[in-house]
Amino acid sequence: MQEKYGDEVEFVLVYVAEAHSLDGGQANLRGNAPIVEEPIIFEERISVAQRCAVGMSLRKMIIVIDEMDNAVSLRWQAHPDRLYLIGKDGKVFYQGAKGPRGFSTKELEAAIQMTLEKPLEKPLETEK
Amino acid sequence: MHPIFRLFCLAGGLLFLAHPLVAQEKIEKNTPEPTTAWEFLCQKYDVNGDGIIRKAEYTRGETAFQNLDSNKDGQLTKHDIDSLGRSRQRGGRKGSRGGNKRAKEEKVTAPPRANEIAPDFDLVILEKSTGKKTKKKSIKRLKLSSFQGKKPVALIFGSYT
Repeated sequence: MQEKYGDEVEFVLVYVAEAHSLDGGQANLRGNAPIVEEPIIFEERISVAQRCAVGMSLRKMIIVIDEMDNAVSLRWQAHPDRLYLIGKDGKVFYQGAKGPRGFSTKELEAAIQMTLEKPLEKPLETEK
Repeated sequence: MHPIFRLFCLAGGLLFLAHPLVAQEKIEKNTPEPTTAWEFLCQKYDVNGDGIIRKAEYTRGETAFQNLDSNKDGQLTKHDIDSLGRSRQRGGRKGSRGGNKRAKEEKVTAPPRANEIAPDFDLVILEKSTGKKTKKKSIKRLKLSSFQGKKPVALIFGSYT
């Protein structure tokens, strides 16, 4: 999606607290799931985000890292994962439902197409 | 070079290689990357190599230890880690203190909704690893509001796991 819309839309990964850290109580040990301990200090979160960037080949995407108080993640109610689209006017154009079930790249793409091609009177919202 | 001087150099070199720290570094470099969670934990915490990770060996706090200690016997074994995956697949809630703790600490605030002004943030930008050593790393930050009037921004909140 970034390759398709990257010239017109900025894609930013906000790196938050781990969803399934090994020692966080919700470990995912299936298949090739990355083995990650829950970062205790900011430098550890940076290190894991670095591994993520390499492991998922996120070379072009801007990645920012939430502080250890998880303030941004909490403000956006974004843990474990969530998608938003912010319009050029600085307003929320699309608010995805909370992940993992609500994490929909299809909805995000539809929102991107709407905001780029044909601005709607009513922004797209999925969460009640 | 004088023969005696050569002898000194050789002896010094041998002593250096025999030094515990150097020997340890050589061992660590030859240690294969862990492929399982238990291998990872053993390499990092099983100081005496007996296949059991005791509290005294574990350095990441009581809560994390409890989350790993599936059978709550006060020590970590392969069985504990194997049980972690099975427990989660069965939908078990054992050892979920980490998640519950986070939930209790979170203040429930309404997330930004459509057509609302997006709350600004100012966060550190991850400097992508180039594999090259840099002497000084400058910390760059990004404000969400810096994109206003320029481009829409797709925000992807998530983590590696």
